[in-house]
Amino acid sequence: MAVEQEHTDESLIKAVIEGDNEAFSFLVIRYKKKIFGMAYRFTQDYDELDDICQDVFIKVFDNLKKFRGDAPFEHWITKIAIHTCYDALKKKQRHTNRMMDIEDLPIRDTSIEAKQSAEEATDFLMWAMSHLKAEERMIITLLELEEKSVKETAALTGWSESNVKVRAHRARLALKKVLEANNERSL
Amino acid sequence: MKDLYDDKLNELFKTAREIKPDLDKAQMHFETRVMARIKELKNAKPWYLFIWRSVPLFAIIAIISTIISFTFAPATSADPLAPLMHQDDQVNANYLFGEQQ
Repeated sequence: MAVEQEHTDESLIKAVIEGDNEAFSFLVIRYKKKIFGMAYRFTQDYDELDDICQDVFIKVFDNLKKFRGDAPFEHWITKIAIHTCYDALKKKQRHTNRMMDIEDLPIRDTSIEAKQSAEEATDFLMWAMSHLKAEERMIITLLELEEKSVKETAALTGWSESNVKVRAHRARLALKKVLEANNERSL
Repeated sequence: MKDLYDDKLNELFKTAREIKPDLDKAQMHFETRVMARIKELKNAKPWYLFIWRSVPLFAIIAIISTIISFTFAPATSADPLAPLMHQDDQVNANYLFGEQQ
């Protein structure tokens, strides 16, 4: 069993607070996969990804003393990751002029060709989402791509459940408008 | 009401969810990079620390300046604004030329 798996989150956190920095690297090893996966959903950019993930773990390190243990550590770190990704989105509202037609999405289950088409579809979705506001993009990412429930999203963002529903509805409408506009232009 | 774009959106979301990006390479030695950055940040002295550290020095300079000013140039009048308040030119002139204590 790996050293990082032998210890609980709580014991590692306690060790870090007491000055054992090495213990923090075990926490990083434990959660890096999750944080990378989540950050990638937000940024879709390998260059940005490492910086965002580093910022997440540095914030975690700096604020570890504030972790009260009311909720699981995983929830706490996810919350920090989401806020860091949101800040990154706000900083970088990307606008590309790439035009693709939504109707041309031949998605199949297998084969390399199908994989390419699926990647193109994802690229197109990300392009469409880049036209949304940072908060709209965040809510779509959490609800539709990360498949979080409204309750989970509310807990992670700090918004009320009804607020999440309203924002999700508006974000979806905004995204549909982008698709419509793109389709009209491509006709 | 559901329309064509709702279906298309759902299809796009489903496709995007199914794509699992290969992030193993990006995660390689990540903990080393994070620990190095933490070490670097811990060693770096923030600029505001220098301001706080220089506060006693400025306080000492201020105290010495006050002592010197009172020792070598005592105030000539209990009320330095008195000549101005009375608007008396002669008093002003005397005050400025040091003829009046």
